[in-house]
Amino acid sequence: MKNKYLLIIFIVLLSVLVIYLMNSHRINQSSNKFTRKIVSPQITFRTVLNLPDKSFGLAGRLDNKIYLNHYSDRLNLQGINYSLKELDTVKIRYPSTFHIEALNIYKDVLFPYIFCTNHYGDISLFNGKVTTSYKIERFRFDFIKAVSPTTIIVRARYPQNLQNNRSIAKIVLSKKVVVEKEYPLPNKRNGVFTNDGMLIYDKDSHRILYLYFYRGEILNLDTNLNFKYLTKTIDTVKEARTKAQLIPQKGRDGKVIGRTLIQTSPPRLINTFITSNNNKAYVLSLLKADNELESDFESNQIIDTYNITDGKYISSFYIPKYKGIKLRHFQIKGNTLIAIYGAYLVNYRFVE
Amino acid sequence: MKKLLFAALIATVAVGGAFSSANAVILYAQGQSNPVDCITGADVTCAEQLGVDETTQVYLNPANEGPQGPSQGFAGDYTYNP
Repeated sequence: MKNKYLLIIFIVLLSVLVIYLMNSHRINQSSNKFTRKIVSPQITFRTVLNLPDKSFGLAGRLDNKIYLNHYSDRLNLQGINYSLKELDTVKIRYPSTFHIEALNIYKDVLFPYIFCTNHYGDISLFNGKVTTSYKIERFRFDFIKAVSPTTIIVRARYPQNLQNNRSIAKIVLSKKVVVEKEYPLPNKRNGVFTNDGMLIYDKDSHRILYLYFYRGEILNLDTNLNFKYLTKTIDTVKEARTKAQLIPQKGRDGKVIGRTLIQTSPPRLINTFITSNNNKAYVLSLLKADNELESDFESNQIIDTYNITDGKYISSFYIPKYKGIKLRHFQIKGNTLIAIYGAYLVNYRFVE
Repeated sequence: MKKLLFAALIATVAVGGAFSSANAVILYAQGQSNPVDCITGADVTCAEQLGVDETTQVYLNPANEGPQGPSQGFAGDYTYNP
């Protein structure tokens, strides 16, 4: 009988070990075959605000105040000064033609302008007093970055090989809305996933940066969407590892009413966030370098910095987790670093 | 003996499930009860609905289970923002 129990315990332990190894790509990062140049800027805690919930994200760039987007208050923004004393609702006036019922309203702030768009193709421009409205038909886009009051850069999508792929597009707002140029992202299988990423506009260098989530690359374009260069980030991941499967969706009568393309294995995110300041791109990476201590990597998060002019890697530094919570969004302006961890908005003094 | 082996199997499946469901969010297209598993920790697209109106929406709850929301995107993109 004792042997039977031992056998069962052995089977369970063996199974747990197999499962652990199968998931080890998410847990064990002991060898990713690259090293970082770790530097230690001064990151000094200044103050923190406990937000009502963890559904907040940074909107636009840090300016005279901090603008926050709240995912369940789609119509407005929240503003707060750098002392993080009190959230203030920034009410946005929408034109009557704007579909405010849209679940997602994408916003960007180019002070004093607040740009809003949705999937209906509505675009509004609110300067605090007056709202100007635009409409673009049959052009699908989501993220928006304002370059000027009359120019926006968006992440669009277009049909390709019976699926969809993504592109970066320049839209000019004048008497009519014109897609002046479209830069298609690489033709890759399951492009809507493999080309998923984050779009930013660096005002100082007038460059558009697009960070790919699943492969270590940053696309650099000028504001006319001319290709400048492609940065290979410090990791060694050159190809996105995504797998997808088409699942038919059936109605009550059993007939296929649609198809859903689903990622069939947990996506392996490489870099998840990018921001810029003073001609540097700051990239939040999820990969540990071989010259990092496991304990340092676990108790902090690593930021890699790149020169925006030429795309070259500069160095990396740690941002500590806050109360054990991971960093989600951050921005830097001068000697100030504003970060969102779960429901905490934190102001750090940051000196490189 | 069979019961013990069965218990061991359940324990193993439970451990595996705990691993695989980390950061999982179940999302539903408008009016549908077919779930889509979003396993993500960032603002990423985890699934895409093809052949529907591009403003069809995605919710946290299926159509037959009470209030839907908060906003999660549109059916073209199943996007979960934690």
